[in-house]
Amino acid sequence: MPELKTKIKELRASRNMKQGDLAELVGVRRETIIRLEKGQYNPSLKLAMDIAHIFETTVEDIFTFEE
Amino acid sequence: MIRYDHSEINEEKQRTAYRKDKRKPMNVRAHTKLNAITAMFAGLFMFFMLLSFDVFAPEADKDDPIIITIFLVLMLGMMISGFIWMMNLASYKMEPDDELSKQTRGKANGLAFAVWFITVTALFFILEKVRTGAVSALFAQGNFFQLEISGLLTYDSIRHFIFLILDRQEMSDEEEE
Repeated sequence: MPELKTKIKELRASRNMKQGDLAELVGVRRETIIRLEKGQYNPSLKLAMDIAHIFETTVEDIFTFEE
Repeated sequence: MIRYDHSEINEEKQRTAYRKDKRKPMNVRAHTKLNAITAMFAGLFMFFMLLSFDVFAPEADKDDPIIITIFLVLMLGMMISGFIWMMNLASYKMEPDDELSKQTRGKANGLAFAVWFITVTALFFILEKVRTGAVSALFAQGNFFQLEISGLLTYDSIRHFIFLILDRQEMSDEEEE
């Protein structure tokens, strides 16, 4: 089964941003960001796009599926 | 243009209102815990009241002025403490659910029904074993409404507790920053 990998943690670290700050910006709980970073949760398209917008990149660049 | 459905618009509105609100914040886990405990106490209180009168003391005279006075004092006390409780709660802003917590709540609601049904069935079996005729006494016409409310409150409590368990499992190896 393909596994969801994200670059959220790296992108966040490069911007000195905390999980709580990102959560606040995209309007979710901090717990949701934690699960996203661990690849334990598949976000909605809206959330994925909101995160991509914050990091000024594309959804495909942040989220990938690996076999 | 991205089209949002109503739930997404509501979620957005709730989040914006939450951000603008100046009151002390209460996160999703905290207010879920509060709801779980409140519903559990209310549901159990109602159920044990039914048990005490209709199962273990069916001969008690409910028109006895002493019993009526005790209940009036208890009810008044509950109403006053409920009012103080609500006033205290109003000083907090409740964090709204996000897409993950909504999903977890959905799972919790489904699981809670199974847990609730098994618990209630087991409880009825035990009660009937302890005192024959207990279950039919509980289902008697007069108190069926109370029993129903008690069941609803217990279900509400169980679904909140299951949400907390599922949310906790997911966060068990959370990294603190």
